[in-house]
Amino acid sequence: MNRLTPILALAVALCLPRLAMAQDTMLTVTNTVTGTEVILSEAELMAFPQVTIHTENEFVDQMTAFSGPLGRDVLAAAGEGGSTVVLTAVNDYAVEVPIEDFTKYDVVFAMSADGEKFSRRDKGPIWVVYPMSEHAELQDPVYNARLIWQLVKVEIK
Amino acid sequence: MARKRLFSKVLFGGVVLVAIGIATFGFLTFKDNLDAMRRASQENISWSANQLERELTRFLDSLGASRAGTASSTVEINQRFDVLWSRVAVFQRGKVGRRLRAYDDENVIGRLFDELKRQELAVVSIKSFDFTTMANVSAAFFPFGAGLHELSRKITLGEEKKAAAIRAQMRDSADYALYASILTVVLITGALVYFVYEGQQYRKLADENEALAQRFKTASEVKSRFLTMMSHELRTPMNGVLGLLALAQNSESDPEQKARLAQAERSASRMLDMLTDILDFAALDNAQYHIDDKPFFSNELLLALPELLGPVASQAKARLNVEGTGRLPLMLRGDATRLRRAYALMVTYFLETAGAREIGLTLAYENGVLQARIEVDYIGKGWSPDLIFGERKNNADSFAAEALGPSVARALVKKMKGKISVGTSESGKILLCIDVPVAALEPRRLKMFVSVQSAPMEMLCKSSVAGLPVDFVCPETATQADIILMEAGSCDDADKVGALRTRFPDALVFGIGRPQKNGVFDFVADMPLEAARLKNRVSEALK
Repeated sequence: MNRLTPILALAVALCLPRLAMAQDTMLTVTNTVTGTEVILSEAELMAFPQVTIHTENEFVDQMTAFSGPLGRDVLAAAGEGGSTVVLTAVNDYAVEVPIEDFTKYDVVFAMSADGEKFSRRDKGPIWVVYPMSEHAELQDPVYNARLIWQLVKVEIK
Repeated sequence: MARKRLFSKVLFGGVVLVAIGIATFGFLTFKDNLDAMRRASQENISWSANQLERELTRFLDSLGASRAGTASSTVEINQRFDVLWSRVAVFQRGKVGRRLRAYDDENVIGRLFDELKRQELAVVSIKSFDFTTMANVSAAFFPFGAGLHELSRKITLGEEKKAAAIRAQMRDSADYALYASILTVVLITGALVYFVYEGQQYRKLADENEALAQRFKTASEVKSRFLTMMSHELRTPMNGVLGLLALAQNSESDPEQKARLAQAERSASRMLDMLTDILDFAALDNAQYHIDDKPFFSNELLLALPELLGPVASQAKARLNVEGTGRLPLMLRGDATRLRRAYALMVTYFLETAGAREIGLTLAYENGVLQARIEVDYIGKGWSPDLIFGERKNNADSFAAEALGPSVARALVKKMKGKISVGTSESGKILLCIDVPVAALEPRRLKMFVSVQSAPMEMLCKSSVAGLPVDFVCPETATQADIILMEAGSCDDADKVGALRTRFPDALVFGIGRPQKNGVFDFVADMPLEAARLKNRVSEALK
């Protein structure tokens, strides 16, 4: 049932094609294994189950509540398969992340921090956030580099 | 030896202190390493500065491209502006922001952020082909390129320097840890070698001490054996002397000579007693000296002591009273011979040495302890027997000849796990307490029947075992008997005894009188009736 939830959420969102088309694209998710491409607007991303994690990282001053859909739910919208995920920011900065990160940890595609929605001028629209306070092994430069913000494109390979 | 022990203690303390010091040093080094590793694992901030410089360039490029009418649109200009803004925002918060700001001593970022805010309205409202605004905005931001480049360079160099310092610190820490480990190993190995050496020395010393102790023990045993043998050998001629003195005394009619012979006999008797004491004293030091643990009747003590001490008391012109008080069990388990000897030695001492006028010896039993209380009324007031009855010091010079008896008594009591204490009775007399743990036994009752011809003889037999747990049964109707007393001396003794043994297979048959044949009876008490012997034999049967 848990696995079906994001798919159902996406289906609900796609049932509103006029509304979706009317909104701006926020995130493009491509699965090169299945050849699927899903274009998600803000509303469609909000339709996914929203998760809040409380964590610190090197870019915030204190424990912060990050909210947004789980990364694995969003990836599932583009279908199963693949081993690596390429996350690309609006300035074309890209980072490769093993797909296990999304299954092993509650990685959130955060759209707000402490209830405040991200603007493009402040890591918006999406900041990939790892639960670093919960998992000490994530407090490492390798994972710091994966905290990509202004995320616009996700490619599963 | 004491100095050596002190040196060992100091060495041990020193090793412990140095080990603690090294451990503390190791802990601090480890902490430094952790700190260095933590700093080494921090986010690399060089890219943040480079990206800021790059985003400024891309923003200026988008303005330039738009002015040239090539690709950029106002949307892209705004997007680049937002991205540049976001890169500046990174400097505003978080650990990364603080570290970046530390390098910005010329406040380039602050000024750039101020400029972004100043130009925000112009950029947001910029129109296509508004080349003037584009040129103005471009001119406003262009000067920051050099400053950002310098900042990037500073950050890159600074981070490299920090990384080098961290590496050097980790290298130094590793070296220190290595030196500390080597020092610890050397120190502990040295200490171990020393302690092993010292242990061997102590072992050697212990072996020597053991050998020495064994030699002393052997010498002491040889001395004890010699003393025992000599005492024993001396007793024999002394008995001869005593016997001859007694004979001479009997045959002497001159009162003066008789008194001299009596004095000589007393002296010889005293010497014999001392030899006996020496014999006991020497034997007590022998490791094989054995204390009996056998049943005995408390009456044995009460009856034997007056018998034993009566003549001594008479000679000292003193009164002696021996009695049992309270709940004195009939049968006890212990060493009756040694108990009797210990009591006798103490009483003799008071009679012969302390000039006692009256001595009361009472026996009581409480909580597994046989309590003897010797109350002495003596002539010399103010004399305390503490020195005699107190714990003997290992000093031969303080050993008095008259203390030999009490010393033997004390050693005997100690062997029986008892204790002796001296005090004063309520009436102000000397009170000597001898407490010896002995077990109380519940004696079985014997069934006895007496088969004699006359009623007086029957009464005599029965009275001789008075005080013993004996039930008399009727010879005609008895079905069970433990002891049978019958008159001996007739020619058909064997037949009668045989019939009785058939009737009572487990019974002992004691003869009273002189049997014609030996071996018919289990025991014979001659006439006139040897009451004491008979009672002793019945007592034996009880045990």
